[in-house]
Amino acid sequence: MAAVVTSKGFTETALLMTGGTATAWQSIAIGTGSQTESVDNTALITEVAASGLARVKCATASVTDSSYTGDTCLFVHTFTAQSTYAIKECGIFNSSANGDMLCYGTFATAVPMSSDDTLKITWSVQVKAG
Amino acid sequence: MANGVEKILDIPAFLNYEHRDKHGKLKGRGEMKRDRHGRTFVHQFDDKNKEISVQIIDRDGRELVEKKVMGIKTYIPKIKEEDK
Repeated sequence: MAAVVTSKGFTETALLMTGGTATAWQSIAIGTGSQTESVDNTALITEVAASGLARVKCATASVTDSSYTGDTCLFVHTFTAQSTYAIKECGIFNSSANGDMLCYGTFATAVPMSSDDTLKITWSVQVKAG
Repeated sequence: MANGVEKILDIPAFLNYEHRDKHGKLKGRGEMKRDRHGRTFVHQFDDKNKEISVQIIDRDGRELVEKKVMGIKTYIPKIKEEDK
């Protein structure tokens, strides 16, 4: 289980910092494939499109405090399965379809979703001094 | 750079999850934490909320193992440990 901000994520961040045109990160997707986490990741391997688990606008997409006031992006969403899936990957996107993947992560072991199970995912992305 | 000190911008991302059944009972969860050295600790918990594993990853994505050297906790790349 690891998570990375992708090169597209860095680009969007730089655009926002300079007042350029950037699209907010608000959509979350999960998938049944997996790949090594890398800044070069651009999409999920096998994004789930089934009802209840399909890409969706996060219920919460806001900023919160970590080291400084409002320095951390917080993305929270709860998916509800309507069938059986083994969820292995997750990403945050700037579009409800296609678009740029701004962060990517995999779960240490597949999350075995059964019908009516819920999966609450919380992404936090902090901007801080290294 | 000011006064010879370079400030580096860091954007760490953390992915946490909770898996529950239709009655809201916990089936498993995972959470990530980072120490001040940039090491990420990935904790996995079972349906009793008992920790079942910890994975340690450095800034470059290499997996580490914890080892005590002369009583001091240190972290070394996992591959080196396996080669011994």
